[in-house]
Amino acid sequence: MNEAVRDARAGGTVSDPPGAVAEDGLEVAESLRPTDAAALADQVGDAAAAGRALLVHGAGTRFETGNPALRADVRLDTRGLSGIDELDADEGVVRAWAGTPLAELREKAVASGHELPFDPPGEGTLGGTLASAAAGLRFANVRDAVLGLDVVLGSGEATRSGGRVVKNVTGYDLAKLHVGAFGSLGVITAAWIRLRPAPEAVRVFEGPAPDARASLAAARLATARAAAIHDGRLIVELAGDAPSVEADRERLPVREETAAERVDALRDVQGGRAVLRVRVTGVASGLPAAAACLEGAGGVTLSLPAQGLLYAAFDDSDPKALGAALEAAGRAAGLAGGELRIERAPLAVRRAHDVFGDPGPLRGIHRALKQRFDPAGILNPGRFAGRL
Amino acid sequence: MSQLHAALRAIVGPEACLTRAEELYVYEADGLTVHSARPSAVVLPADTDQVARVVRACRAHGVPFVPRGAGTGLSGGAVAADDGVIIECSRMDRVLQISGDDRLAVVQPGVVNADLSKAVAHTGLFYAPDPSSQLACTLGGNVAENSGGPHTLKYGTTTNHVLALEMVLPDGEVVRLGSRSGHAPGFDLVGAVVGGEGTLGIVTEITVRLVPVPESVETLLGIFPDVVSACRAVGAITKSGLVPAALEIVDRRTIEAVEASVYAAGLPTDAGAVLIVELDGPEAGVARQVERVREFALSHGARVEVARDEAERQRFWRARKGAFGAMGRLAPDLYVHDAVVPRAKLPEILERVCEIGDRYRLRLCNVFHAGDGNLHPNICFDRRDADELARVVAAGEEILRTCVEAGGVISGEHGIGTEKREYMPLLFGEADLDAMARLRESFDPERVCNPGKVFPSTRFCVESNPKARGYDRVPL
Ligand SMILES: Cc1cc2nc3c(=O)[nH]c(=O)nc-3n(C[C@H](O)[C@H](O)[C@H](O)COP(=O)(O)OP(=O)(O)OC[C@H]3O[C@@H](n4cnc5c(N)ncnc54)[C@H](O)[C@@H]3O)c2cc1C
Repeated sequence: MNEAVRDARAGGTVSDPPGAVAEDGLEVAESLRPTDAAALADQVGDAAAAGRALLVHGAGTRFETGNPALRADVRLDTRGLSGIDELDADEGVVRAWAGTPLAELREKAVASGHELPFDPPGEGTLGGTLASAAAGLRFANVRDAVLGLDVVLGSGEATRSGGRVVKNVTGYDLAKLHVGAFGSLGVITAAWIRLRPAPEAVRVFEGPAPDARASLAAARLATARAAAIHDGRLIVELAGDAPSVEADRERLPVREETAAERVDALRDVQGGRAVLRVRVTGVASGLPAAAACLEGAGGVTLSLPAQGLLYAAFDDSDPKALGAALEAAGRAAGLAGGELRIERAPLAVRRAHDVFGDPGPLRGIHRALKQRFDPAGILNPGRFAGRL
Repeated sequence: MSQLHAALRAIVGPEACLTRAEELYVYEADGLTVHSARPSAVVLPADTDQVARVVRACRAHGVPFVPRGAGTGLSGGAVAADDGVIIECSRMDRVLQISGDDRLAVVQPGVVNADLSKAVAHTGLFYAPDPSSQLACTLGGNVAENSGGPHTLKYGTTTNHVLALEMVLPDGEVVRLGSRSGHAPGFDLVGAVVGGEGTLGIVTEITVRLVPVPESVETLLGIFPDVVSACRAVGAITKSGLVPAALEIVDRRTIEAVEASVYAAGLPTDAGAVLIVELDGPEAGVARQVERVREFALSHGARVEVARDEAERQRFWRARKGAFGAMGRLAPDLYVHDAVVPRAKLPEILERVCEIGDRYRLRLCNVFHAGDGNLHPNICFDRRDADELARVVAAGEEILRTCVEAGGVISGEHGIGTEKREYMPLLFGEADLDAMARLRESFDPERVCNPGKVFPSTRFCVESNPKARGYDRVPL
């Protein structure tokens, strides 16, 4: 039943993570692509018994984010677990396998009169999006859309939490623990997701960004689904019922109507292939100063004021320039009243800094969770916060 | 024990440490009166430091402890393990910070839910989760139960509104989880602790998200010939893509009880069910939504009224909010059940729930969050009548099984507590419960914080759902 697939390393496509792994200076000999959850659980269980480290990935679009792996023996590819299991259009919920491409999910969601509550950069898988809690321009809180999760723990047990209903406090909310854990506690195999009703009207407007207060007010309009400041421009996507969108349009400080693709294109900044890319989170009132700080250090920024998210890309690979950029990023996080995450950086930087930020006094709980969910320490060892 | 009591008195002061039987009596149960246990002491700490020292004193004496808010919980969550210490957070009731610009507030756990929205009203913002008990229940209890309310349909439950927490871990260490930005590094510990039912530690400070008061609010009352058509109307409304702020159904049995009580809202007692729909948002959009909802209700056989003013709006809601009070007057005890099913199953499940109530000769009625598929069958009874109590418990179990068979779950907002712990295997297999235990033990390896909750007492010997085992389990 286990379908071991030799790594094809086909033509350096984006779906191929070896680049990142090679950068980590590790050779991965074997690649596994199980085609059902039972096989995946067996493989994880076998690896735990043998102490073989697994690098878990979907399409690999977020693989660049993470500390360097400490060990890597086998690549575990979830894309063999693919497809939609059930889509309940009346209820607006869908259950799909972790390896399902987001593009496929999006298409089915739209066909059922809904929209997918995720829009991260890149064409990843459902599992990868959940594991990395990958924010997009429109939807920053991936966790809020997850109703139920199937996860194979590091010890090989197949587990389930939550369910298909939209309101549920039956037992602990374990899904929260796995969403954003970058596969360090378990391998997500399937999920129940709550879809959003498709908006009746979607319109995008842009123009020169007004002052911070006016930009924030625009980003907080009731129908503003995405609002970004980039390159001196404010881009706002309004979505909702037509009369509300029309009313909000009147309140917008920017007037040039543009295509919805304008918003999608911004994701290239959010997830671009710069030498160094950082994410700074913060409170609304702190973001403008943080953005100025990053720009002062030569960063190209993308600010999502309503979401409290700020991205910056730096293209100078000179170590001194990198150091200065990182130093500015640290200061920016302080100004924003939030945290810094290094989303993409050369190996040396990722060796020197915990890219997620150190869990500090919470290190004990982090370690306890890791030990209990992945006792053999075989899931993405070293890659997550605290180098767990 | 007297040594521990002396230590506790020294920490919180004698007036904030209750140990006499008559003082402890009111702490024997929470809102669920059928489960009770006598604590050894109740302490009311004034600040985080006192909480931490109380926890360490309990640890030193090997005594379990349980956090408590207002005691309105409905699953036995705030009841002490025998001879345990209750740590009541009601004195920690200050709103510490309000930031209109950043749309957040920092509060102590003893702040009463409704008081928070009052305290932030001047900013044009409010705290969205609104349990029907909001005039009494505390934010600490809300966090522990991941509480919802009538408006969670649009706004989400507590978990969607908590940004950061300060808590005392079960070993007495004080830690901060989460971030004001909502994106903390590392595991989403806030997400794990919200809904943790007070078993992972004692929350001593909560940073919540605030949301803007909507520009316009409209409330409609649909009077339906029967509950099935009311449920169908709900299905039609949600399927159409409309997201009302609330979609609540009150069934005929409840209407009769409400109208016969001081909460009378002037509802026709021959109605089969009433549906309360609240729509909010930008004025331009709401006006049209009202028309769409009206049409859905009319086409499902309803008469529709739209509240003309605030007084009328309050009258509509009285039908919903007075239900517990009205039912409570019919008998000494009220059992408020809580389960969730996919919305499309509501008509069929309601019929079966009523049939179960009748078969067990119980006074059962339904008021529920229809938009979420969240049922609340209410049963009035007298717990001193052992036979009736046994029938209440048996009917409750049958209702839960019925909901699980329909693809539902056994709690939508009240939690598992002691009430439903033995039913957990209806939904979860051994590995699933074991995964929850791993989380529990990462925070509290010795299980001293609120023991005896959530997990089945005799693990895995309750007959479990055959569907809930192995890899070939059908999707929940
Ligand atoms: C009439 C009525 C209507 C209700 N309506 C709703 C409703 O619409 N929606 C809903 O969700 N619930 C509802 N409830 C249930 C109840 O009000 C909620 O669960 C509420 O959140 C409990 O708050 P509390 O302060 O009373 O907590 P308690 O009952 O005192 O405690 C509840 C749980 O929280 C834990 N806890 C308390 N404080 C802390 C703390 N500081 N740190 C860690 N854990 C803590 C306790 O250990 C316990 O497990 C209703 C109850 C009643 C009686």
